[in-house]
Amino acid sequence: MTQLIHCVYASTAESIFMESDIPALLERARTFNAEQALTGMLLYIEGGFFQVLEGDDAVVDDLYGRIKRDPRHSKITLIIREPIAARDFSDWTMGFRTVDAREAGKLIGENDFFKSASCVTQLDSGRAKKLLGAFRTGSWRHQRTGTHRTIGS
Amino acid sequence: MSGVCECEFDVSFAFQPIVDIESRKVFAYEALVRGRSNEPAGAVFAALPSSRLHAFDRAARIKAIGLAASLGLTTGLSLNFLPKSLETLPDAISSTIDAVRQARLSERKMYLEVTEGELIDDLAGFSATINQYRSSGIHLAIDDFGAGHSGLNLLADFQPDVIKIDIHLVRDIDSKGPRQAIVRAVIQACDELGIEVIAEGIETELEYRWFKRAGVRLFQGYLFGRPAFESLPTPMFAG
Repeated sequence: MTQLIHCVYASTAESIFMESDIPALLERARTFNAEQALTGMLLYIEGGFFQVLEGDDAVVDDLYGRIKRDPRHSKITLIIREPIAARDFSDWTMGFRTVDAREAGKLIGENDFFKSASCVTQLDSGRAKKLLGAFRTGSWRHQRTGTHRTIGS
Repeated sequence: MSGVCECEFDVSFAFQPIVDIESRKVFAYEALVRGRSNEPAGAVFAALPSSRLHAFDRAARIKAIGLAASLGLTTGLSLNFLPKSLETLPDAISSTIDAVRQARLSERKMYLEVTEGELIDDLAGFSATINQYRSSGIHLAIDDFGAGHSGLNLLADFQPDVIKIDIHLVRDIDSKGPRQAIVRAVIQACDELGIEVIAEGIETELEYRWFKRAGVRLFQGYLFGRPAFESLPTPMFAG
């Protein structure tokens, strides 16, 4: 029996990962995710990734297995994998948001940035939102300043 | 057949508020077993043959859901649950979910409370079973967290939605260093895992202020409201 789950992980970008790769990465992910009924979001803050994946258990587990082998990031830490009653990001097979470095320096640690990122605004007060809050305040990552990007994946 | 007859157990409930101090609203009410004439839970359990404990546990939840719905419940509802009852009564949880649906309440506002001590015998088996039901939206809370031997180890293999910090850690926390150190570690682990923390058994302003400063926003205890027999009492909010 398939089960709807979410999987949340954090990781650190390797030097071979270029921010300029993001548009192409998103384009491929959009097509793949739509085909596989995957939803979720990807947050990129100064070299650190935080991703929520939602979908059927087998599909999510398979994708996470491949994500773990992706050489563009390391220190991949599975924070949670569990069944969910409904998707938090049902409308998000894709989305994109950037904040420039100067703005980011001001915004980090403030709620405003997260309120203004539209894929986050709609979040129910469930686990994904709480984990996102923990990531925002510094858990699960090593550095705390720089460029922010929210990407609905 | 709806499966479960609750007529065998002639009991009722008191409800105690669990408050969210940020929104200043009731987060949930915990249903506490009482006798038909508000006799304490101890008297109810003393009169119960141990062979009927699991059947009682199942029937009590159904009754509590019906009573809470008839009282106009719009908040969350927290119901006690004996995990071992699943061994003899496979419908222990599904009958609760059925009752929630019949009462036109939302599964997503339901919390099953399991004590830490009851969980540790077969954590892997229990988490596999409970995870099936979490798909329906019901939440799992671990009661008396910190009272048993497992403590934070429990969270290594299973992440509940909520933990309730054991009352012995709460009592006089404002003046007890070791309790403060343990509770801070629990709060930090829960923050990082997206687990809500409830400080229960809060009786004094000083205990409340300590937890508030530590970042806790959900509270239960006499300071906010006593259990009220067959009613959903309005809480008091401390300053």
